Amino acid sequence: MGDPERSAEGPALTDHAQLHGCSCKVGQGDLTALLADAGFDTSPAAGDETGLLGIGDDAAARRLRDDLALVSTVDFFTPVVDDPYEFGRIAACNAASDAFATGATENTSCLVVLALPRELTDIAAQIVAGMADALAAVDGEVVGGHTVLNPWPLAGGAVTATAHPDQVRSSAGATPGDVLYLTKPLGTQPAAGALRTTDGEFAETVAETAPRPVERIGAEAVDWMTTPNRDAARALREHASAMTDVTGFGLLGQSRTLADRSGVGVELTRLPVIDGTPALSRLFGYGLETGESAETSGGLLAAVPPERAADAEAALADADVFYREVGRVTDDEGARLVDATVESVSR
Amino acid sequence: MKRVDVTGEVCPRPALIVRRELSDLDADETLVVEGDYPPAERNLRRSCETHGFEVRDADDRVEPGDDTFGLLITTASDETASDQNSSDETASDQNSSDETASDQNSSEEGASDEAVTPDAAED
Repeated sequence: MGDPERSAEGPALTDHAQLHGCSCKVGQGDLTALLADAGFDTSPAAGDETGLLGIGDDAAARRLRDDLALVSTVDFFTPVVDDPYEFGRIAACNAASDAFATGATENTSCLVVLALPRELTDIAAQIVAGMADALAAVDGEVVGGHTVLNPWPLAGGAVTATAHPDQVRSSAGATPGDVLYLTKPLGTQPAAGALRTTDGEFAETVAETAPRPVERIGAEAVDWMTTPNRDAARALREHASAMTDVTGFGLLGQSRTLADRSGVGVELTRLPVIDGTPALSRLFGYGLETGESAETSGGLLAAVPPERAADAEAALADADVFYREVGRVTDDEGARLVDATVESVSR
Repeated sequence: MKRVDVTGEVCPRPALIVRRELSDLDADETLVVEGDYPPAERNLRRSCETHGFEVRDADDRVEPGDDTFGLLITTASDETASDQNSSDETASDQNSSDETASDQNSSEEGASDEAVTPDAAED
């Protein structure tokens, strides 16, 4: 968590950026337009004979041998918390998640992408140490990187990992009738927003609105944001027809991506949320209860055929991974909430 | 007519600033909100509507090609305005487990794609 004495030392880390965490991600519509303008084919069927996954997927994947696929991805963002070490852990966890979302969990390595304003260069080592520890927790490592001066702080990395080609999953492949699972509760955006207001003029308003101590909600959000998706990926990749991870587009937006790329519809019926975050979301206008709130380092969203659901749930339970059934795949199109139940979750 | 300018403010502060201004708004009074940060506009609309206020565009503030926005916020005429009190909200949210989220069918709306485009990466 943020250093309570930071105000005496100048602006907090998050004060150096106007957008925080995955909420700095450029929107789907703009990305699609950019790729089309640049002449890329973003359809799920695009790709050459060696490409398993490409543009539009969470990561790129190439078949190196019949039994080996190389997955690569890059992800970086602005600070979502004020503690540099925790920011590093979250950034690494989030970057690796894009590889894990494809099912690639072996030989994980990360090239650090780091950008800092001149006045913050003294915290670079703490950020990188956080990243290294997060990679070590998934048997991965930092193998290099690139650091620049930049007005807004940024951290993340280019992550590579491997898998058997048969284990590689994408957001295309869901079929009507599949059960949808989510492996982390939602609500990181309102939780982090509340943390940024704990020492200012609105601290009392936020504290009165939150049904639990803001620091407790924030600590749980950090715990979730630093929970790697590797074990969830290993449990689900054998059973899932499609996988992705939930980040800046929120659960509804990511569900729409999965629906569009699979040529199906998605109905969301349950929203697990970090206890206390719905009230904060209402206060801030973030749209958590409509699935629209941006998530940072969110969980995996997986579509599992109903005949594999029991095995998938058993594998998740064996791996001690949090999960909730959050909806189903239909033969419709797009994604929507249907009488969705908001379920509060605390660690 | 009251005015508040949230130009340069980063979320969640705009919503909190506007909420403070609205707390002592008379029933027949309008609050004019000016700002320059597109994600804040979406959050402000949602925050105000959640708490029972009506939000309209201040047309004279909208300049093409510009990120500035202007909103006119008034007390809603119906009973939804009763949700303005923060202590009520706190109490109700303590029982939020298994609440049913209503009226989320945004995927049918033409604007639904935009709901997850730039501004959905809101903060």
